[in-house]
Amino acid sequence: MKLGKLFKKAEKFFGMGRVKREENGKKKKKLEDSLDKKIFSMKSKIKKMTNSSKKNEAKKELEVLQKLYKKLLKK
Amino acid sequence: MLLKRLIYPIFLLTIAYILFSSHDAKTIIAGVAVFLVGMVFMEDGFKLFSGGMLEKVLEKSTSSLPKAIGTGFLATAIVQSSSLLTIIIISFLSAELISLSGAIGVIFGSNIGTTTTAWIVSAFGVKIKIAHYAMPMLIFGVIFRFNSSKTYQGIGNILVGLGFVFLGIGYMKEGFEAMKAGLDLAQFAMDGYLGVLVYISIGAAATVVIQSSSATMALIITALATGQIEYINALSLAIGANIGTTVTAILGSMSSNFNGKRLAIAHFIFNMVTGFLAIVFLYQLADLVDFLASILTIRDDDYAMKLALFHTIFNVMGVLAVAPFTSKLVTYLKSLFKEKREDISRAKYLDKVVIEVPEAAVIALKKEIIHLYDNASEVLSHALSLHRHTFIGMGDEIGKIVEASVSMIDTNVDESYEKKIKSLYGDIINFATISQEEMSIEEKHKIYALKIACRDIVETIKDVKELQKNVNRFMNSNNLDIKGEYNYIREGLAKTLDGIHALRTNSDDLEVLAKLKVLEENMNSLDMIGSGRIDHLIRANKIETKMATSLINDSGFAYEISKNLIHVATILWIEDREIQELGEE
Repeated sequence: MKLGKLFKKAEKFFGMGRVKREENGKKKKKLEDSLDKKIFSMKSKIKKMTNSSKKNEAKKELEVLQKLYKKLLKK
Repeated sequence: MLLKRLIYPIFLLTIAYILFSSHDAKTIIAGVAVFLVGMVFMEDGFKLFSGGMLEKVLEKSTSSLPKAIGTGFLATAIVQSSSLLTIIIISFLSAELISLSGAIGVIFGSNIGTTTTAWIVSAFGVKIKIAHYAMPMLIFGVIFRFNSSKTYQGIGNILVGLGFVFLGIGYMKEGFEAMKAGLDLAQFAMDGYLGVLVYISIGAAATVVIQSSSATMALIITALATGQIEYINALSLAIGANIGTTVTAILGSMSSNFNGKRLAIAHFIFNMVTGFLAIVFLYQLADLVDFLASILTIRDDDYAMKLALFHTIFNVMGVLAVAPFTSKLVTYLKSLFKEKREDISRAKYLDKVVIEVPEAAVIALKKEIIHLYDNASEVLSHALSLHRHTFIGMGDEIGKIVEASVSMIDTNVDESYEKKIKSLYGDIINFATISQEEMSIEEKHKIYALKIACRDIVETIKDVKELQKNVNRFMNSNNLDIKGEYNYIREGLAKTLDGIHALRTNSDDLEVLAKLKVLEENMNSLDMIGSGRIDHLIRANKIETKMATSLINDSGFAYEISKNLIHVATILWIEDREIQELGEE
């Protein structure tokens, strides 16, 4: 379909591919922000905990979140 | 039976006779056919163009009856297809995405929304040379259809659809105008309630034949605009069209599941009540139309617009009359069509009607795989001689519970697999394969992940079968160390199941991922070699060599079971794909 290919070239010319890249960037930023917020709230939660076994579990979860955050930044 | 077989050929012969004997009738019937083709194109166009937006709106906006009615009205008015909405609603009902009362609300709203076709036809169709606008729409629509983007293809289909709809109206109008010269149908006008009932029957019959109340209304309006029928008879035809559409719905529901049948009956009851009220108050409604027409600056002799107004008014009246009894209607429908008693070995959510809506199909598939997981977790627990109800929710107490669970549960894993897993697994894979055909890339990825989850669940059953032999052998052994090690394995797997159970209702994906990762780390100790536990046992001569090899193998199975269960949980209970992928090694 020559007409179909013409439309695709027009989309590229008008920078519509860029839109997808920008969308992916926004998704990554949103995830980074969510992780950051989660890590912060986790730290506050751990400070207030008194039960030692629950505190240990929470610390492990915090460690996991921090590792995931570093992994996301490297992407 | 013979009569049933003869109806269709008789119908075709009748149409053929009419087509060859009357040129004007041929034009009118062709107009109806072109109009119907236009509706199909518009329906497909909106499906492509909206890209699942319609389904999302329908899913989210049906939590209360007024919302559901409003949603049904808007969706039908925009999409111009109540049948598309019905298909989506039945899919959603079957996948338990919306409630029956929400679905009924949408149907009520859809009945009002469908009256907008009459407005379009009466406002534009019969007043201007609509066919002139049809040609450019068709041309541009076809051009857009060649585009690779689904959005442009959707717009193309909508334009082609609108073009055909306008062309169809043009043909119908042309046919009726030409017919007037030779045959004036207005001479057959009937007065009084006898006339009302006769024309209602004709309207209903026409809708049953054409299978579209919108097409029937277009036919009525064009006939009215060309003076071929009297105004009061046109009102009766419109009531008949409303009633006729329920016959279509009932016929369509015969091959449907219980949800489709419930909705068809609801539709039938609604339209019957509306029709009855419209018949009883016909002349009062006609007066109300005259009154409102003067306020809306509709000309007194603009019978086409007044008919459209009447159509809207009596449908609104029907909703106002029936809506307060929705909960009673729901109770009645549920008692009329009961759900089949749950057979845990077969699929609950995977109905062929759900395949029509990709989004609903993905959700139904997920629910079914959770059903498979629940069956598998029961088999796993019994294979470890544990009952789920004794350890789920018990957290740190699980160790003691496992120690106290010394009675062997006599369960044959192969039999349990055949009974509770295999058929269901087959249904799921079959459904996943068929439903993928109409899906977007994003949805196909989700299906792929869900299929992997299924495979992992089945792997756990195969592994636990191997594990069961020695669990039964050593759980009551006199050698306290080997007994302790097998209890450790049982405890580890029970904790995995318990940990996953606690996350099922957690909507915070990051929290779910973090907890699953911690669970995974805790379960690493199940691997006897990796954790070094086996070395200590052998060096201290606590277990025999044969026991040691069994323990190494079985700990490997337990580790794999735990890993697979956690992977399944990541797919089933983390919604966000980015977060799911982030968690993968």
